[in-house]
Amino acid sequence: MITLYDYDLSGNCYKVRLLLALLGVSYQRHPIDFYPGREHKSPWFLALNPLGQLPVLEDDGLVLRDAQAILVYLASMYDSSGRWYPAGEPALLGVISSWLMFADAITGTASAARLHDGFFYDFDIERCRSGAHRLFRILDEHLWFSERSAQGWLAPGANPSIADIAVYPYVQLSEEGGIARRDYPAIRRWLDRVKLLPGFVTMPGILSLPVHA
Amino acid sequence: MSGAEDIDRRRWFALCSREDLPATHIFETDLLGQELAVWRGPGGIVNVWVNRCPHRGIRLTVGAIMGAELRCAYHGYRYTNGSGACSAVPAQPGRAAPRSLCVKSYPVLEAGGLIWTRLADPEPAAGPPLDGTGDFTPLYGLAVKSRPAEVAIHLAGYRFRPSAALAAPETADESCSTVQIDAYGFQSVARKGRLTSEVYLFLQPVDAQTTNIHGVLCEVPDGQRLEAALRHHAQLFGRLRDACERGVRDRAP
Ligand SMILES: N[C@@H](CCC(=O)N[C@@H](CS)C(=O)NCC(=O)O)C(=O)O
Ligand code: FES
Repeated sequence: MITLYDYDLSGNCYKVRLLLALLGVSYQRHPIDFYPGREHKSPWFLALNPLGQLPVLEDDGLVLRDAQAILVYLASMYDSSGRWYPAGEPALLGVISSWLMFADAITGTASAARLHDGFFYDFDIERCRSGAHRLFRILDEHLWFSERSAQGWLAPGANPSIADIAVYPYVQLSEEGGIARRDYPAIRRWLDRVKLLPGFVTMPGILSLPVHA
Repeated sequence: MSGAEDIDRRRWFALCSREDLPATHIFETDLLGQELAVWRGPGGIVNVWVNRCPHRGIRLTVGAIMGAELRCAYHGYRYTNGSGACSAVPAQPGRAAPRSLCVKSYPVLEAGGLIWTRLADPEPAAGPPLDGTGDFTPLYGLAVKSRPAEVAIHLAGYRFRPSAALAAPETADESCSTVQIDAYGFQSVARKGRLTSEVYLFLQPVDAQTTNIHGVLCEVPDGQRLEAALRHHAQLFGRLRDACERGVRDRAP
């Protein structure tokens, strides 16, 4: 059985829960008291992940940290369709990896701004926000062109990939860090598309989009 | 409010392109500080509404489109495509919807591949500078953190290359000139020999710090040429935005 060391309000944990839900893979949660308990800095957790960060995933003796690494593993292991992380397509894998890196840069800016506003972290808030806007501009233009040439996902082709899942959470949660999305129409349409994926699940702060007749 | 602001509220402004409004998506923008929710309902009707639910003031853009209605995310009140009238209140299924609850909506025009609106009456004599006919390709538009007058100065110097010539290196017989049509509109023509390419560029005053640029190409190039032209203008817009914002920063105290 897969175990996810998890915190409800963490976007990085949420992206793992989201992919597990989209793949229909069952797992058990081990809730961590991230705030205010700081359980991710406790000795037993540091033994599991010396970086003291969530999420961590355990599967059949394998212990993995870093949400992006976990998405790569889960898609490679459990996605029989091969769409989320297409092993046989090197160029596509390269593109997907570049967006996984981008996702971590979003964590360092948009997520940091949210930790500052909602969890009282001592970050340079203006730097976090301007850094996020710089990334959002790049993302918006990329998605606009992707809408024109393909289906509007981050990597080329007809299907979403783990790149979309990795980037999604902290873009959707950006307003909790004071980062408005008014100036990014292509990003907003992409957020709608992710919400309409079959099997989509929410987290606190993210509304679902009703599917309608 | 000053006279100039009054005139601005009456004139037509481009808000987005027709492609910005796919089914079931609610587009969000501001015009002269007024927050707007824009969506296309059944029958191709485009709605430009004040982005506030008349019930308790929640933004309509966090709601959802359900057929011919927009449903507010908060208490589920529904507002009708075309009129903005409240059609249903979930807590009172059997009762008629209160007629006083109506979203304020603004006039809409579709012209040149763009969606236009204006905020106040009376309607000015001048419509949008583009008509509804003709083939236009909307360009990637973007927001500049700068005032319209500032962006206009930069747009007046807009120089691009004809889309049919983009694959070849630039040569001496190429030229481009841009003229200002009015306070918020520009027309730009690029030539190389017999080839020409023409774009219109429009400014949307969003709020005190933000101006959107909307552009349309007056042709529909095919395949690769289209892609190259779109990339070309997106790159030029990006540079123009950076130059504008650098100017704004340099003058900050
Ligand atoms: N690169 C890591 C970053 C994870 C991360 O920043 N996790 C947050 C919770 S969302 C955390 O544990 N922060 C505590 C810390 O960094 O000390 C990933 O993508 O999983
Ligand atoms: S605020 Fe919109 S229904 Fe109550």
